[in-house]
Amino acid sequence: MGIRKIDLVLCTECGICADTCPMDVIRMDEETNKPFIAYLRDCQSCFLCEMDCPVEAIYVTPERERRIPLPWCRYIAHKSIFSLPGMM
Amino acid sequence: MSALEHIKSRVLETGVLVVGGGLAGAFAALKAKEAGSDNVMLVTKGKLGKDSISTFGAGVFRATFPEDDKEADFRKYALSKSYGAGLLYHEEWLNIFLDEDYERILDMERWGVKWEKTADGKFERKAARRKILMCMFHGPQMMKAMAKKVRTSDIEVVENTVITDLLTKNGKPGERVMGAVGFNGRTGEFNAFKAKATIMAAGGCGFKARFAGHRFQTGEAYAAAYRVQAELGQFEMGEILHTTSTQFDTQGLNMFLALGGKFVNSRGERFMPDYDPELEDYSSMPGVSEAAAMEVRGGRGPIYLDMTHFTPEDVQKLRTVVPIPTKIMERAGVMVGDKIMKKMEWAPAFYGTIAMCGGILTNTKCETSLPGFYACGDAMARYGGVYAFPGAAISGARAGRFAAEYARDSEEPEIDEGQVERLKKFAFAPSEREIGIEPDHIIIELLEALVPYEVTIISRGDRLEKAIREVERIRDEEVPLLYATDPHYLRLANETKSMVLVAEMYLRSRLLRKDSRTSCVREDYPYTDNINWLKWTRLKKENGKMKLWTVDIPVDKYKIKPERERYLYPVFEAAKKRGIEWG
Repeated sequence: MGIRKIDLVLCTECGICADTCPMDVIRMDEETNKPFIAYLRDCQSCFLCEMDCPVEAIYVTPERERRIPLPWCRYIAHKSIFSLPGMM
Repeated sequence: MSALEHIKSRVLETGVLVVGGGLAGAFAALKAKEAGSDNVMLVTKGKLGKDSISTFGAGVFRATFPEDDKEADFRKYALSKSYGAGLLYHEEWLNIFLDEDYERILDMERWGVKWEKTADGKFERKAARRKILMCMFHGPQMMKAMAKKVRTSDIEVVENTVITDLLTKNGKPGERVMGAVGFNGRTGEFNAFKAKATIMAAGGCGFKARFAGHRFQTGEAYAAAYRVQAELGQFEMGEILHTTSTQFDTQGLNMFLALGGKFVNSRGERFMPDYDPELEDYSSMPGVSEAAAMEVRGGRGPIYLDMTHFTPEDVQKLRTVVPIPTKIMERAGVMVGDKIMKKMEWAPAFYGTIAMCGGILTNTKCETSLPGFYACGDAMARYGGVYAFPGAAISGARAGRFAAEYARDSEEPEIDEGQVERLKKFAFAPSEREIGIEPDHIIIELLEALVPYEVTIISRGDRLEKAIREVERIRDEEVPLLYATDPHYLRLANETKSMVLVAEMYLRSRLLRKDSRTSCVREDYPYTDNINWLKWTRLKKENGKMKLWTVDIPVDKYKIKPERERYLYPVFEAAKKRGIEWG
């Protein structure tokens, strides 16, 4: 999930996105002074970077970036992985 | 590893140290200042105003107003069989809560938080979950205003710093707390904080599971308190077993329900009226999660949330009060224009100790079992009714006030150099290894042990024990091999360590309780037993091990008492009615 794009042409190098992200996903490149996605897997799709960017240069998708288990298997209507034989 | 070869260090001193910059921490710092503390310092893991779950509060805040019937509200929170921490309420705290929450709303308004008002300027209140009236604020604007107030109130703010441990008198556990240590998650700089009073407001532990906005909350508060042998408790009472879309994470369920959203199973049937005849879809979150889990057990999964019948006015209200969930639904193709296009597949989002659960034990002054050490918000052990935003605001305010009082009269704190060195080594250990396991590997294994519904929604002793064995294995075999290549991963490694410890607290507490209550449901003990189990669980580190015990709740001294009775926990009654087998 998560942050998909930062438009570097629109970007005004204000640094708000890197500052705002609670998960430390975005960092500023020291030489170009532009933001880059440093730790994509930590993105939680909270949309703060997109909302706070003053020139709408950032696009975030809501789908999850890392694998997170569901409490049950979608296709085995009454079980979770915990119930499968040999599990743990 | 060159980033960590030269670890810079510094020592900072203050009067009242607040660890955590969410609503509880902000209140603690501001009220400590109001109480006359000259030196107040707030340390937070990211950027103040953005880095806590308070930023993602989806717009609702309960409050009992002066004109409301306090006793009726008391009974609503305390005596319902389907919520209120299952009748394990704390009378003194609940009374304080009902007395002080309105004042906190006024504080927040004074400090710049915008509340929804009616046409004639009064606070607008809407009935949501449990038909309790809620005030509405504008999402992230709340913490933005609180952060601004903190920054302009002569409070020193230290950001991007994760606190890993507490400092104690003579460097020994079980003694007065004299500060904390931590490091900057971006630069790797090590910081020691010396303080007269320390307030732990660093939130709960969401285990980086599903649900939006809590992946930064990983339980450092509990881990640090545990290691200095403070008392903790009630970790089985994770009442906020939130639910979310299976496709994406979204908050805002309170609003969705307030506007008429309904849950249906795979047959398209509404099932909540059977599981909670009184509240139906407005049931408590664990009520919905337990019902959904039971429906899945009966082969009627998956579960959906249906909002396709919302009017354009309803959708507009969503835009104002919950802007982020609105955006998420638009991106996912669920909301188009002023219409909800399809029902969303829905499931419990394992929520750990966020918003409501156990934590560090405190009295009503927010004092913990160690002098000079206070806890508030999600870091604190919470009780029926005293939790989430109102709990954070009220406990934060009290912690700030009483910590300031303590700091005024207390002895000067002293840092034990040996302890600082030990704790620095402990925090930086993952960066000293050449090879090892990265944090994500452990996080997924941990979630696979915690999230399945047979472990943490409808559990059973043997499955809890299986999960505990797995957590012990992770703790003993894998955590010692955690490694980090830079300060960001070092923070993740420390977060992972905390999560493994909190998982153990959580599972062992569930195993200890031998009855079924809201959010702590066991097939092998399917009765709510208010004859033998009006107890609170407790835990603490003793002789290197996690010790657990129970204490009796002093119900005989309560003005409003629960019935001393035993009954089949409602979800099992409903399952019988719906022809679903369990046991």
